[in-house]
Amino acid sequence: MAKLPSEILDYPIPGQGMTAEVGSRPWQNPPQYTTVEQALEFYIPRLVSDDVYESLLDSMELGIPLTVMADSMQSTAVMQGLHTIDVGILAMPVIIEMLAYIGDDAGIEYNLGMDKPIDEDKISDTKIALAIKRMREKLPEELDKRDDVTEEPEPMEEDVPQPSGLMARRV
Amino acid sequence: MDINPAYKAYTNLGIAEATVETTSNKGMGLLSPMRNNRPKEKSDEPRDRVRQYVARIRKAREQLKDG
Repeated sequence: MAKLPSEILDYPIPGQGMTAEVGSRPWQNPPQYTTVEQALEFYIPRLVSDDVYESLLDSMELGIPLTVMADSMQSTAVMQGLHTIDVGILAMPVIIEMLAYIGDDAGIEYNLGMDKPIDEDKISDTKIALAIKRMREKLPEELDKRDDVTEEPEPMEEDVPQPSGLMARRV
Repeated sequence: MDINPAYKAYTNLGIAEATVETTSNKGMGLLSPMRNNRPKEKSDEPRDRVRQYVARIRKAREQLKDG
């Protein structure tokens, strides 16, 4: 049996990059803020602080929904081990409302993110156009043939006056 | 369908129902039950507290809009 080079044995195990020792990640440790109130005491002063305030207004101007902003805020805090995900879920409505307050105060038209979700059953015009385009790419000849074939209208039968005499020949 | 959890958390808070106050006709007689004088038991669940906070900020927001 051939001897394996020693470097191969030093390679990382597949998936090792996605694992870590239990407790080494921030979210695997006890959170810093354990109640909703504590979490809000962390969030609200940050929302109105000078460095965050301007970027919040910019994001609102860009049309980023407030729900998305609140969700990303709390997800980041969970990853940092500031609070648990359930405290984050509880705090989100307050964060959204606070963001809306900031937007109203600054006179910005923001997107709250409460629009009706897109109906998946309804196929958009863009999707239909894209499907037609793909069909054309796959079957160019057949579709071109169909386009070329134009139905010729059948000639209309003209009403020819029939001779009405006794000796007239009937067609 | 993937819906933003913030959307669900916000819409399921039920603030609209909580802010509507029901007015009942009080009996003014001497023998009428004085149930309305009893202090209401307030829930101290986190969800209810969050509802209160949201309602408070919303009220301030409405006042801001009204000027």
